[in-house]
Amino acid sequence: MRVPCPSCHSFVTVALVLDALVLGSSGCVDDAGGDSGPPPAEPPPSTANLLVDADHDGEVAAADDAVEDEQRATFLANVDDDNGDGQRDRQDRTLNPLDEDMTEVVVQRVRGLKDARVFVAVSPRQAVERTRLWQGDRVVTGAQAERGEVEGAGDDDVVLRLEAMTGRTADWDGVVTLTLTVEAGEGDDTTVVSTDVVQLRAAPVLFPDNLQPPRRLFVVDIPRGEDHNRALMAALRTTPGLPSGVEIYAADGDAYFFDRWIQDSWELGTQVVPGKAGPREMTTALQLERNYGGQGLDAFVPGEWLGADRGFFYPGGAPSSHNYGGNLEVSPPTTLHPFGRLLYGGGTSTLSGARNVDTMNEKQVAFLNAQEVQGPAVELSSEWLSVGHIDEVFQFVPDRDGGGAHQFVVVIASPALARASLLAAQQAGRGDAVVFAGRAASYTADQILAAPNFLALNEAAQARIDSIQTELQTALGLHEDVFRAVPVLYEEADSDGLVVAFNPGIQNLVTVGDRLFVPDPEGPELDGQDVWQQATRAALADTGLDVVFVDVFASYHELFGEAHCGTNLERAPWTMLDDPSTAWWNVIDE
Amino acid sequence: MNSARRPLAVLLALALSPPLTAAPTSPAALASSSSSRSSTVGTTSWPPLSGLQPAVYLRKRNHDPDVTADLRALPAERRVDVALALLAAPARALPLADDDAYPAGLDDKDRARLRRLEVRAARTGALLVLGDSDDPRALPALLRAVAGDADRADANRADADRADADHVTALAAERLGQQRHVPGVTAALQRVAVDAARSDAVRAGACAGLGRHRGRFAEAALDALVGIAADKQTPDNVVVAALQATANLGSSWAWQADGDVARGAALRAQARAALSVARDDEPLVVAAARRATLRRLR
Repeated sequence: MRVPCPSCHSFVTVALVLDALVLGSSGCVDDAGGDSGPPPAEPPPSTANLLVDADHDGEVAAADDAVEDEQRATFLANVDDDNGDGQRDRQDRTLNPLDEDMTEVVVQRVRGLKDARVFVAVSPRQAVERTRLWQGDRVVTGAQAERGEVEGAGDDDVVLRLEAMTGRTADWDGVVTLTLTVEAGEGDDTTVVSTDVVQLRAAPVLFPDNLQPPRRLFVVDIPRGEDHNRALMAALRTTPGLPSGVEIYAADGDAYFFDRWIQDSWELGTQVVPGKAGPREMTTALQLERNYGGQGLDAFVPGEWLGADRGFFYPGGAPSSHNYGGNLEVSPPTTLHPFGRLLYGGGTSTLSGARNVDTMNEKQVAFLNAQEVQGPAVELSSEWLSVGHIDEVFQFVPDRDGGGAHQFVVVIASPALARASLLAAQQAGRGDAVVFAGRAASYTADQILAAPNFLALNEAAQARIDSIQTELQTALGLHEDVFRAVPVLYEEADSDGLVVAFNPGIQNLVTVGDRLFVPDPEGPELDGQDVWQQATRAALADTGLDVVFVDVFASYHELFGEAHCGTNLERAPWTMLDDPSTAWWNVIDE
Repeated sequence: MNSARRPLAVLLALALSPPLTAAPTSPAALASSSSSRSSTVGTTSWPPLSGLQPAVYLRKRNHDPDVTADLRALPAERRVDVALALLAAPARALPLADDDAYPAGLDDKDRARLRRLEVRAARTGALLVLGDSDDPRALPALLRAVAGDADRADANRADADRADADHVTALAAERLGQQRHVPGVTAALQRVAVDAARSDAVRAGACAGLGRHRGRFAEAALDALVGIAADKQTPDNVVVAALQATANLGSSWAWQADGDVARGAALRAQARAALSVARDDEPLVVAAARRATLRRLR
């Protein structure tokens, strides 16, 4: 049995005796000093023994005892709504017997207990405040009591259930230490007869990247009005549509005060722990700080989406559009980052050099970094954009044909390429070719190429994008060849000196398996071909992906967003893939 | 034409005058006294400005009110009329949304914030339109705004916090730079950019204006920017803005658009030479901006 040494705080082996705790002669006993070999079939009398699923096989059994000092068991935060009462289960005051999101902790029968009593204590303080330990429908420990008595442990094994109110947070690494003691006597005469200590750790929320298999696509259905999105809905619902097996979840636009930016109010991730029949997952949303007065899609997660095995965290924090989901992306795995790396946007200056400090709020960033496995999150410059999201600049998509240095490529906006296309049209004698043909405001290539301030702004945007690419290469260890430029120009969005995509932002696409739903850039046509579409297809030609251009001009683009902004994807988490070695508990060095 | 030119000459003369210490001789005061348009405010009927309506701007991804598109949709002369009126009108006279137009769930604080942004959007949208305009009324209006718009009622100012006021003034300075063939604009912007009594935001706006001054006086604008960047008294924020503005001033894409590739190349060469020597005590943020600028000036 091993407990923390009171002097050196490392785990030490403790000889189990009836009347005293006896340390080795040096105080600490190393791993080779005892407790080796298989656990005894039955512990000695009055021995405290706690069992948790330390070997991660989904079951609590005697075999766990052998590894509990080297490995922590895992647990979920109970933030879904199994009983359908409209609130997260952690808020329930009584036990829901059907709730499977608690973690079994077994107190082995304490033989020869007689007058002795068994207690369990939780530490550290953060864990006390964020967990409850149930015995049946009785709360043994919780915010009001860090220590409680385990009843009936002298008669039989007792199953306790650990319930976590939160997962890993900025001020808690998610580690729970449980200390079981067998005590004899009363008051000042109390003697600790035996002790056992185990540790568990909260599952991180793992956010998927665009390479992971899609399960469900969320979109807000807006069938009416000048800015209806019927074209996008049709593209998703009719051939070729979504790949087979991917559901569409169409939220009712009327219910959310015109709010269509379903990418922005939440980021979908997953908590996963080992289970008996394979990994057990809880799809877990990060509810982002986005104040719509409770009438926009800020109401979607708590009001419509919350349910059994669908939970959420809400760190809160200061308002800024930099908090939104379009400003939070996950790179696919790289050598340096086996679970990918979290990326968000922010910074300090506009393209004109004016000071503009804006970024994701501290609470959200702290939450992301507390998950550890995909961090630390990297801030890339996005404060020069009116909306301020990194999905206005780049997007990761799979490289199915695998010809590149990675399993993915980065589709990145390129004003230089867009301008070059226009110059090529002009040089071919087609300076009259029209951008945004048929729209209320359309321009010829000649007109665009004769707008000095517009072009100076785009040259500055290109310089900023180049710096972002450099940052990405450094942060993720990417090869330069992985970047695929697509033609996107920017224009001033408003008076703040901030910019927004001039043409529908091609990189703001939706990746659903091998199919990309790409904003139609509505570029100039040469020989019946949209040159910006052609450039996009050329950039992605060797990836093996199916490119579907979608009209998002009035429905999203003119409202400062594109296809990615108007959708959200639920994807299979890592540990549901074929290779169990990819489970976070097998990869992360605890 | 003459009546439009005359106040402009007065304004520019004042902008070029030595540093001012007394309000009566400030550019703002003269701008105010020379204005002949403020009387039109009370009689202006507002066109539909949907960008100020919550039901419209809250649909946008950034949720920011913005009247620029509404103004640009108007005929040119009417556009300038409305822009001038938006600048001159007290906040209470602007065509803002009724209280019941906001989502019911918003609290008073959020509603007040949106209202404040609407006022700011009305002012700044007007400045964007005026900056793009060659209407003779645009220049004096921009100069008045750069001067701090002292002719506007104090009650106006109370509607916006200091940052908003600076924002409007900075934007006016930036857009003033687009009046790129008007003598005296360079010096006017330079005076604002070096004026320690102005906020860094406004001084940075003036630098940005110099960066847009890619016309007859581009070389003078470059000299001004180089001087601002080299001056050890210049705050780091303003130095960064001056460096960025230099890159914009030398933009090869812009000079090509203007059909004067050779002059642009000469200007960039001159800028590279001037900026290639860093200050001894240069902070990291300035050094980074200098490197970025030199890259863009290749």
